[in-house]
Amino acid sequence: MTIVPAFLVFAQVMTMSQNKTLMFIGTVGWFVTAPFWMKK
Amino acid sequence: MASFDKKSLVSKLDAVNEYERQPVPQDKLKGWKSFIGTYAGEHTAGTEFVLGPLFVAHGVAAADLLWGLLIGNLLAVLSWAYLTAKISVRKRVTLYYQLEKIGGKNFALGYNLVNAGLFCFLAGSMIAVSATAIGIPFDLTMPTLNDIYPNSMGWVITVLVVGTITTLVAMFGFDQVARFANLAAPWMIMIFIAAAVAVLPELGVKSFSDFWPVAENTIWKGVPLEGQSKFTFWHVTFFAWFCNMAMHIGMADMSLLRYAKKWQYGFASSAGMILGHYIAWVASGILYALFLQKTANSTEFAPGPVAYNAAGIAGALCVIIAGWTTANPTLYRAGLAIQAINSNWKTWRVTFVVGLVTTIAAMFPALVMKLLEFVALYGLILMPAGAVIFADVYLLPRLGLQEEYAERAGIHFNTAAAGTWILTLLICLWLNLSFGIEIFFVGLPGWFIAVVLYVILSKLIQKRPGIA
Repeated sequence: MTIVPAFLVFAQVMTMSQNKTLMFIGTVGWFVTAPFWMKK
Repeated sequence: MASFDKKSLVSKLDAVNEYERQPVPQDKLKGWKSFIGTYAGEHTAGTEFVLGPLFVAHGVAAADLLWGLLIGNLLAVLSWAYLTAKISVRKRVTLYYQLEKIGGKNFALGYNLVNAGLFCFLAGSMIAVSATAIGIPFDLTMPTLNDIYPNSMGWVITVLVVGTITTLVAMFGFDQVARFANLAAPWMIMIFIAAAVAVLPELGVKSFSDFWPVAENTIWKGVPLEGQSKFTFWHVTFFAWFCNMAMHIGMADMSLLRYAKKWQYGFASSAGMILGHYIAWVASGILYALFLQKTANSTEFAPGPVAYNAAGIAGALCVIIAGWTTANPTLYRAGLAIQAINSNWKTWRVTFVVGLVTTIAAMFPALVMKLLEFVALYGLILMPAGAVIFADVYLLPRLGLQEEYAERAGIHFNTAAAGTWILTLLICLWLNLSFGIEIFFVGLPGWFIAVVLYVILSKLIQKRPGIA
């Protein structure tokens, strides 16, 4: 969710505003979930 | 952050064996994947938000940037593999211990202190980077490219807050920050890439074929901003090669690569160079170019607003985290290095004082605006130590001279090593002042000068046993 929306913006399928929102949600999702599946 | 239990933390830290004064045992060696991750994480940092834009500010042309970064980063990887890694797997000790064996305890202490000072300034620049993002919701007056002194009380207060938090964490919670940084590293790389890709349409890139004309005419136009010197292909190449001079030919990464099973793992540095020193620098340059376009070439230089403009809150968070996760371990290492002067000093107190000095330094925007020059200077100052190690390992034995002379002679200060360091830097300064050779380029002749000097001085010193 952090990186795919950016390519959709490039392809002019998504707006920048939507992209920024999804990047923020992706960021929160990353830091909430990564401690559980990322090795130290 | 975990609840604070100082005794438990100290006992845990004491239990960790870092093999500071012995070769790493065979059963503790690490596979190549470990080095890929480490290099990728270490070299995608807060500095990338500054260095990429500075190339744009210094008017690097598109082709010069892309080729210069390719060749310079390749040279850096080759340096890591053929110089650092080969010696690292042969000796399997830290840089500090190797310097002590060659130069003596006092020489190694001197290196530590110089390194600590440089760490402070680097940490300071990263505190300032984070501050530019923290200041966004407060409409902070951001520093400009030509600022040397603090430009507003708001800036001073913001830096003070960020510096205080960074210092407190370095004093008491470093291990947690290290874990957090490992989590954040892959995310940061994605943010860099995503932010740059998303803004390309705003710069006029609507298809792949649009990229090159926009790169040449809009992003890396080849014209420096007002007050900035012009950078060429050679500046980019040598900067990309020598920005980590302290780590590769300066041998600081012996401390890392001593754990490598094979010297070829030195090529793992390519992960950091590709992700951090190519992709991230290109990406941050793209973000900055958009910022310049939207602000009609404003001289304001602040990674926070640039990233926020491109990627919203995620971008601003990336700047904060990138700056902080670089500043924190750097400050921690500076504290440890200075604490080595007197083992009776409590590390946390030393770190507090170091943090205070660093935070004050961070208030001066010059640390960010001149980061290219500072990083080049950083590598140059520490490079002679690596040249001494190279000469000691490969040349002295072949010339009938003793390697690791301080250890064998039982001395605390090898004047050949110290003389090499000081004279090399003086000669480099002379080259800069007399011939106008810029700081980015002087490290290359400097290395050869250091190697030759160490051989000559060692011959003189070792001819007179008992005198060091």
